[in-house]
Amino acid sequence: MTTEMKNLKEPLIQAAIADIAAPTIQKKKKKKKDEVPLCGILSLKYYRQFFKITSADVGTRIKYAFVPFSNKFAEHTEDSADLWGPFWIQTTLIFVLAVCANITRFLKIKTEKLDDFKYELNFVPAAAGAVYFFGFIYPLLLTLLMKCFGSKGGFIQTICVMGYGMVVFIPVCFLCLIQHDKLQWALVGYGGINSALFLFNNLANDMRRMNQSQRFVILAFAFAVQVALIITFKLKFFDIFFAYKS
Amino acid sequence: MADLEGRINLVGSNQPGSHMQAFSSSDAPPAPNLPLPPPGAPVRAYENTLNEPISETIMRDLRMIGYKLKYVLNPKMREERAQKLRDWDLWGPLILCLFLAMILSFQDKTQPESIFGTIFVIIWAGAFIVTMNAKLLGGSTSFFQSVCVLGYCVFPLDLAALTLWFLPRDTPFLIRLAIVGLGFAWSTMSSVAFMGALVTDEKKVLGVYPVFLFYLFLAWFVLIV
Repeated sequence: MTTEMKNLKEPLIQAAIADIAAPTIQKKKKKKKDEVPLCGILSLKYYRQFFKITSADVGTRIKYAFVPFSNKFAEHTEDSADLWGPFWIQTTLIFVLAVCANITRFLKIKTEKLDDFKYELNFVPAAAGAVYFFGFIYPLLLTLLMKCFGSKGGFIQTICVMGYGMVVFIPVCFLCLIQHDKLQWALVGYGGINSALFLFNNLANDMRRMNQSQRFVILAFAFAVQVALIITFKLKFFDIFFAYKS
Repeated sequence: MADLEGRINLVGSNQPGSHMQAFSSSDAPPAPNLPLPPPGAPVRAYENTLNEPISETIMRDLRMIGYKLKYVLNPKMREERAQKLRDWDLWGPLILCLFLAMILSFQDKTQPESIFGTIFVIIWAGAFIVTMNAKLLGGSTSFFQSVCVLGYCVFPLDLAALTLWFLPRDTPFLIRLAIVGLGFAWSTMSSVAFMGALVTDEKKVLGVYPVFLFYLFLAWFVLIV
């Protein structure tokens, strides 16, 4: 009799234990799925979190990038910095720079009646080097500097801001096809100022915590890099002196 | 007992049929220790392909490439496409890529090696990056399947490059632009149908735009060389 009762009780007890243990078991399983492996940066899973945006989101962020003074971009990307925008905006910019540089060279050679136009393939790696440096390496350096001064900003956030800030250069490149030197300087200068202001506006929160001299160092560094960016873009891609190499 | 005999007969009667199938599709008889294929199974898997002539092997691969080209490029065969493209191969993309790079480097007098290498790198690196992008956006595809589709869709640009090569030197720029534009549009439409299905609707533009940029880049090279 007792063994029969025991046989009846066993499955009930096991079911009860399973019920109690179920949430923790599920939690463990879930943790294993979401867990990022040790060298997280090298795995695909780590970067998936930065691609969780929709097309509408990207459109909105690009729109805000043209208006450097408003706070809307910072509010929009509060918790969700993305990497799709920066990477593809910069890749588009590389393509646009290479095309416009070739067209500029073609137009300049035609007007000054130099020899036959040969397309220049070197613009593509040059543009890639310049844009990816300003878009990825410079934000990393800037964030490193800011972290030394005690800021809590993330690397990905700065890359995101800088990447979206470069979207203003795409229409600037198309407009620079107009062959007027001063106009080109003005356009590229406007692009540089727009992206610099955009960057400062979004980093303002982090910079508020620093004291005066630290803020000065950061601003000076950023300003120097922006000027270098403007000069590189204008001279390397739109100027006959540097652009025309045999 | 009679029941059992009936069953054995049924089993026995299946064997000769499939046996004959195996013999009729290849010259070499199947190896003695290989099991006979079940009825209805593709016999190819059980052929001993080591004994066949090389021409047969090459023809089979070429036929497979032609088959895939037809399905990838015909815009009307949408539903069947997904099934056929599951078995990816990289021969087709390699042949098409080499073809494009060779045509463009024949046309270029000054730096043929440079343009050959550039096209090669752009196609393979570009396909890799576009596929990575689709996977990061949450797309569920095997990596090589996507690279395979992107490679096959380079075919219209191949045709455009070939056409431009045979046109006389002084055709107006607009005609060249129109031909390349047509090739680019055809390529993009073909691969967008595949890539767009990989990501959710709200991320469709994010998945499709890199494909557009990739073919635009290639089309620009075809145009200016």
